Amino acid sequence: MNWEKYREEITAKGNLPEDWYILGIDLGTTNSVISYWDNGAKRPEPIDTSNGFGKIPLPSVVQYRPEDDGEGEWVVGEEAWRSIKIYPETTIRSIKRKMGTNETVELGGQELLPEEISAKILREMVDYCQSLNPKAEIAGLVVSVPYDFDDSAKKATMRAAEIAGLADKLICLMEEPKAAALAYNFRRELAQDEKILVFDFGGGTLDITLFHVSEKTDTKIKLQVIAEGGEAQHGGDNIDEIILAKCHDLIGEKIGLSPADIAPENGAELILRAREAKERLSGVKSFRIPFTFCIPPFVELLTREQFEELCADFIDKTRKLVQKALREAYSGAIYPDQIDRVLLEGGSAQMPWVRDMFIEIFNDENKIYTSERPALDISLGATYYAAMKMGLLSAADMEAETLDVEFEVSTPHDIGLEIQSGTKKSFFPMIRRGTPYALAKKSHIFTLSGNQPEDMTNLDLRILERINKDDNIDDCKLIGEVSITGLPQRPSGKTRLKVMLMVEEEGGLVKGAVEDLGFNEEYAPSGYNEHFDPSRFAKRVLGG
Amino acid sequence: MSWKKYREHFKLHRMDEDHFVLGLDFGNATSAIAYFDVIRENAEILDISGGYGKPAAPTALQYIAASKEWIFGEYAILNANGQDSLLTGFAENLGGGAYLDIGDGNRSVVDIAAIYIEELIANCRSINPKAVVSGIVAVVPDFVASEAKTALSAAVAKAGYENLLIDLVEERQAVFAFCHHNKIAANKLMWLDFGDRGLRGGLYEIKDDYNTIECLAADFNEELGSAFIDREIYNLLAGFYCRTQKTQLDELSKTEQEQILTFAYGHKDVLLNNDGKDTRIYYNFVYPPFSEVVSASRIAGMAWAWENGLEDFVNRLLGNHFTDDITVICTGGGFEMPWAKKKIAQIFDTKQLYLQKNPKGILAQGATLYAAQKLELLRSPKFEIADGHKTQVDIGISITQGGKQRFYAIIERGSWLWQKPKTTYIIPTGENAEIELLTRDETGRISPLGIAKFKSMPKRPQGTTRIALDLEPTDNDRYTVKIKDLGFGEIYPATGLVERFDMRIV
Repeated sequence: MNWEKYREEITAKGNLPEDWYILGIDLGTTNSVISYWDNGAKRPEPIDTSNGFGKIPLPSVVQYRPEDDGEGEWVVGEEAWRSIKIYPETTIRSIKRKMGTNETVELGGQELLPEEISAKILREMVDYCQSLNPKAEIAGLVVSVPYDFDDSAKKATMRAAEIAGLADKLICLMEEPKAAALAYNFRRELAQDEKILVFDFGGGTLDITLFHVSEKTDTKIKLQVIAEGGEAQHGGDNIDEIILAKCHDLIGEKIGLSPADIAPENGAELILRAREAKERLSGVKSFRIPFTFCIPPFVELLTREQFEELCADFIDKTRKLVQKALREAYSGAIYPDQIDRVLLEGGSAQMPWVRDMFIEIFNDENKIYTSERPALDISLGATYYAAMKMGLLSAADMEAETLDVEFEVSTPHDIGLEIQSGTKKSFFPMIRRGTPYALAKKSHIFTLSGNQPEDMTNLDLRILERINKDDNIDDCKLIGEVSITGLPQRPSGKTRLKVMLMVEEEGGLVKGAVEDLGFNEEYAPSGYNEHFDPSRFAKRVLGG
Repeated sequence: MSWKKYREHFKLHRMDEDHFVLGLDFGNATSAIAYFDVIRENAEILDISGGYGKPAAPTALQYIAASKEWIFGEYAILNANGQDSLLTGFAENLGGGAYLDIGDGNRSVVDIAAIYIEELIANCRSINPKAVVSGIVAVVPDFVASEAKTALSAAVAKAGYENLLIDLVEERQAVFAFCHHNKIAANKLMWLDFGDRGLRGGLYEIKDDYNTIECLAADFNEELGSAFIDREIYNLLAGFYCRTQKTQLDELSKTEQEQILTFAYGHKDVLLNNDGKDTRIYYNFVYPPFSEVVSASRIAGMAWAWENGLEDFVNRLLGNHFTDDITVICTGGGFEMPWAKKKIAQIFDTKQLYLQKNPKGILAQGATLYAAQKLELLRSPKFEIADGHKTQVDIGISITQGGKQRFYAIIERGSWLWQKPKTTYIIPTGENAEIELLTRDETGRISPLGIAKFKSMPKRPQGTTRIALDLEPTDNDRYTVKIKDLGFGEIYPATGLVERFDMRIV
């Protein structure tokens, strides 16, 4: 049964059966979190995958343990992370950073795409949820993605859900800052016209999103995205790498060992130590990094001050990303004093320098709020959204939340086509960044011309995404290629073709359509009208 | 502004999200803090784990003398290095007037508790920089002495919240406030608390929607605290370490001990929650690293004693009462362990069991709700508790202090009958080496309870007989008094004489 059927049943029953689970999943770079909708308490609850005492999030780590006889074993989560030293070469972490690329990982004799690895994390979390209640039925789920994810990465996330056997349960993808804002909204009193900057700083990604409370009544709140920024490859993992590089330098200085000479298991220990140093320095001002495998072993003190000096470029870049997001707000620059509160979300936002940086930018520490549950909020927000989509939050008889929430989310990047003019290629933007999803449906009419007969019957489209405003054509990311075939044979310049691109309101995926308009009264439209769903993997071929 | 002023303020102005009404559970092993969520009108646990979903933090402090830096909670445990002082379990020393060595001189336990409490409360300013604390209720175990309560109040005051401390409440009062607010309907309520220092419980009859509550039974078993699990795990992991490093447990350096302590802390969850499977653990902190497999049966063995003890404990509490009209609420960090949850679920029907995900948080939540009631933000029942299982008067002796006679309490009024006071050592100044026991009622009136003296005793000079006195309640008006002659140094050796008396309050 797919999620829509479950929704119908829920509506018909007027309640959510005890064994039906509505889930929100934060598929993170470092950690992943799964929450379910607690219909008794009318709110989402995170599922503690550590089964009690540990931290709720599941490390986004996938490990393959080869066995001499047999197929080997797949281990996901805490156990995989803790045993990274034993299986350094077959332990995969931070796979989210590769989502949307074709970079494969060789594990267990298989070449696996990033979405295939991510699927194992999704499956592990869902299996855990089902193990808590053997009668559990997954009714629907929402998976969060960074706002700054490109279309390919979003599609790879959907594909991961499909591989995990959850395709028919996936309600939609949801942008992480939107989920964070939703979770926060249900706990706090956001006022009309308030501007909230959500700084979602995870292991792999930084999302900076400025929401405007454009409407607030007793029963409704409308949150409009008025600026966004950040970077898909800017997160806590980068800091780990900086510390790791420092560790390598220290080993070189102390015992003259180069990174290439370090055994994989010792390399894995350094990865653990680098992460540990980063996490500890959030709570203490100095940390002694032990280099136990070196001969002779030594311990090196890293103070928070030294740590922040090491990361100075990274910190500076983060500051610039915040300033850029404000400067490039959709309706003109926004100044820090126009913002009412900054909400720090994500595990990496716990580093003390983040708060210091904002105090410096805003010159007002009273604006800097930390979410109560920064590592869990994305998943909780996704669950709220899933419950809304399943019709649970609007059912008056359920004494649920009294607010209806409406988001006006805009496309974070320019979306358009590659245009060839002579030998020169250029990017032709069709949907501009900042266009609300609801309005992100743009068409353009092209007139086909060419010297060869097939120039009139066939056309290749390359749909691109321009991540940064100043990127040139070579920096643009490919959303997908579409090959249009079977158009009527007409003379050059006598075919007008309408190409439409749109962004789906749920999750922001790009879709499109091509329609033959004919040519004035001379050539009537042929009726060619095809929709497409571009993919980076395979060229879509549209036959007339 | 004092909490009373805030109470008046909230009568005129709606409490907003910048005002924080807090419930503080300052525990011996872990602490938790909750705040009153004005939107939901409920108590919410403040996640002090950096958002990772562990709302209770270890009650641990570390002082780094070199940088004059205080480190709190989990960071302090993880940072244990054998060099800087790590302070744990100091809550139980409150009221004893003790001083602890922090590596840079001694500090009183009250000072140390104040530093920890200040940090705990500061967490609310992280989630809301405009946070204004408007009232605090702190929970205390109902068995602690009045000196400990005074010391906790002093610590809260030292932390900067003197006028904001509404009250100290017994843990069970916090539980009742929680149950009342969350509509945990009960005719009879059994409360079980699985803390580090023991398993405590009580059976209560709830009348008139929590306006009056009668205590039907109460018990405590210090052998069933979670500290024993911590000890077992430490010994297990230290054993593996010693075997591979070819050393002995008693030869471990302080640094090694603290490393293993940290390692045990980090692995407790993995070991206890592996769903009945063997667990491989990785000693990454030693070189060369090694791994060990902890068998499921080994872990099950650790839990076995507790599981059996729980059944006996519950049966004693139940006495002649039927289980089917009882609602059971479980609190304490011990109940966060899946096997403990599983065991209690085997004893009671799940429908009558209230076992939330964070049982440790209930006391802080209950204290928050109690605070909200005191600030008149919530309707409050009277919570009048009739205790048939507590002492009704102070029991003690008369001592001379500063030339004046004063009453010295050995058992305080309101102590549980299961509470056995520590042995008191007395050197009587009278000629007959006898001890007169007294009672003091709630009005302060002192009355004789009885005289404890040896039937035969060698003649010794005045003031040269040291006596060990043990008092044990047998009912709420009967006491067994035991005295033992300890002699006086080498000149007057102990005779070994022991006398027992049954005394009854008239």
